[in-house]
Amino acid sequence: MRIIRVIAAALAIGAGALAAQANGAILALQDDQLQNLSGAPLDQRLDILKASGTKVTRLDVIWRWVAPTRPADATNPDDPAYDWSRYDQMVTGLIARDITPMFTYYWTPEWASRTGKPNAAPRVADAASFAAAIARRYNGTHPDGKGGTLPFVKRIEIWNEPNIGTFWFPQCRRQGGRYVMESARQYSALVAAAYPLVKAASPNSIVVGGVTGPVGGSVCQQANSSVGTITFAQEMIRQRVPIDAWSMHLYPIGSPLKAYFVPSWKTIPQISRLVDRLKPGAPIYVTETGYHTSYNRYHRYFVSEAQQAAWLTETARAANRYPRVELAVWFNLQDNPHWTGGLFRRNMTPKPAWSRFQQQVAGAPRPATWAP
Amino acid sequence: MQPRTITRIAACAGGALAACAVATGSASAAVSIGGWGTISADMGGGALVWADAQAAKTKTFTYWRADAERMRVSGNRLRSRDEPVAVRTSAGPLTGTDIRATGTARGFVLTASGAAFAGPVTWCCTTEGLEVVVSSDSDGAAPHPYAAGMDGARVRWIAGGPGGAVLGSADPVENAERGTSAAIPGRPGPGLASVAAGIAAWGDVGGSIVRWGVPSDAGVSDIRQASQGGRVVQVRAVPGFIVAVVRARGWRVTRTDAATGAVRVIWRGSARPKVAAGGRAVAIGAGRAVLTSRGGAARKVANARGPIAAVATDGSRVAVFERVSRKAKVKARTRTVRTTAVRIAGRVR
Repeated sequence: MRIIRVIAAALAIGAGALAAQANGAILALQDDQLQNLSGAPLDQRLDILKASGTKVTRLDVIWRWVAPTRPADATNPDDPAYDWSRYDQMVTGLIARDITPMFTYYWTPEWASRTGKPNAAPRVADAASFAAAIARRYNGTHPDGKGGTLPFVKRIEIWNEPNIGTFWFPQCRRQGGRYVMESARQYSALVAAAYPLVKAASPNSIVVGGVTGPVGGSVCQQANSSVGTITFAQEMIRQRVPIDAWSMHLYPIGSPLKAYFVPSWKTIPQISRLVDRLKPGAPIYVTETGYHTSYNRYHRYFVSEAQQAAWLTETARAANRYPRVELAVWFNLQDNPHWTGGLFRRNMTPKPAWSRFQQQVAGAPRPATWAP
Repeated sequence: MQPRTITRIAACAGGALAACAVATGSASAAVSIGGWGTISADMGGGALVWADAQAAKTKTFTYWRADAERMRVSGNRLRSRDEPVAVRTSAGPLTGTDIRATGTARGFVLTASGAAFAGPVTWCCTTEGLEVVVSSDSDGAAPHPYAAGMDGARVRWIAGGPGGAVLGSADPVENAERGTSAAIPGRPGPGLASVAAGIAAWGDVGGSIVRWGVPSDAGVSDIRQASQGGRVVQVRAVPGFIVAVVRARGWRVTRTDAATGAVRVIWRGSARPKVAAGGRAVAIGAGRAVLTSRGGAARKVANARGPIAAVATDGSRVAVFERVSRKAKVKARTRTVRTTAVRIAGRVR
């Protein structure tokens, strides 16, 4: 009986991998510790990412680290105010390991922040110029200072979770005795300003908008009320924001195939219809998804380690149900005190989901449009 | 998910007026909690805190939730409700919660227990109003926390598992991530542990004794024990004494003096009671009767208008959580809506 179960499980895993190949949704992995490392420790960490089998990853570009002081020419990546050293090593290291990186940038520098805090809503011109600097540095033609060129990073997400006060504050402002939504309008202005600058610096780049976190509603009750994905998208439609691709984050309550809260995998068609009004047929990237295996205040829903592994497989199946979904990024490689959705525990021992991830991505091809 | 509806309901309504006239006296208006969950509660520092654990059924699946809420107690009125901690899981059913008021800034320590996993212990809250998770372990072999409380600046919790029982400790403000763990004797289980300032108490699953001692990072010292004369099913400790619910030819509530070890039966009955302790008082919910004791036999102070789900006391006031149901129109159909009403039922006598 046990042997039959093992065979059935193996067949199920194989079926998942085949489904991924058939529909082309990429299951990828992010390691949010990469930007904290350099030198040999970074190389070791990149080797672990490589061992996962992922062929795509997402890199957090921390604006306030790259630009600790105000650049004189913010669109010029060679402005002396910029320090790209850690990202040059990361990107080069990833490409050397045949992993395609995509960028997401956020955290407002002190000089660009109205409050001095990293989550302060940025001035549109400053944040758009930084997007242009990223695109210009990593457009595939920029010298690497060693006689070669830096790799091309095709996809740039504009910000991270701009619908949540943790990353973009304020979300709402007081007007006539009530709160009105502010973040979606400001964010729309940022994407609209960044889009032509990025395209001018790197015509083949893909500008990814939205990047919404999976919380929030349609009504502002206070300055840091989160704004729901659908409400956020509707405002971007009203502002006629140009994008090449839409991204969002899904952390479902319940299994990927059963959860129906908005947003979840089952509500992808609803999101697709909205994305079509931004750009017909634009691909959808789920640039964060996963399940926590213990309780933490940033994500209050958790599952067992066995469920996490099982639902990783279901996540891949859910992504493959929707042809518009090109990418699903599992967040994160390793647990930390604030985030326990890792494939490794804090002590770097693997959870069952680690080997499940490896099985899931093994043999799954990377579409040509996602080649490094 | 939709947030819970926060409504105030009259303490006396409909046909229950006669009973309420006896019941409430100077009692406060009630606050409503949705459903008939498993409630734990405590009062201290001018706050009533409670945790409500129940299954959350959706159209396609069930998960489990425990919500910790708090209200300011002003006289016999409840004000300023908020819900700073909300545990959600599909790892398995939550078997219950234990909540202790810290006595300052409406703070509390919450333990949410699961049968199949080590549930979290959280401390509420920082000056920014954020909870701090002091223990939550995804490892299947991790000890399961049963109860926690504040001891000076440290959160301490009692946990048990195949490897034995432990007392965990952590400073939630300075360094919650670097907790300590020390072995303690016995086999505690859900409901059979309690921690308060300067005292940790616990019983064994299926056992008839209660142990108690002085908690520290090194474990529990000066451990003493007393037989309760029957099977102990619940333990609650406060500085100075321990209250136990005991199954022995019916049900008993005992009060054990921590200094002398003297055990006194303060209530007997035929159904399992709800108990709470605070200050120098014990509150008991038995059927629909609310009783209190300052050391002697418990005396009735109020009647509830529904089965009592939990009681809480700060030594002078008693809060009662009573299960009520009413008919209501939901989507044009009349349905029975179950709620739990919370109110200050009276004063300790």
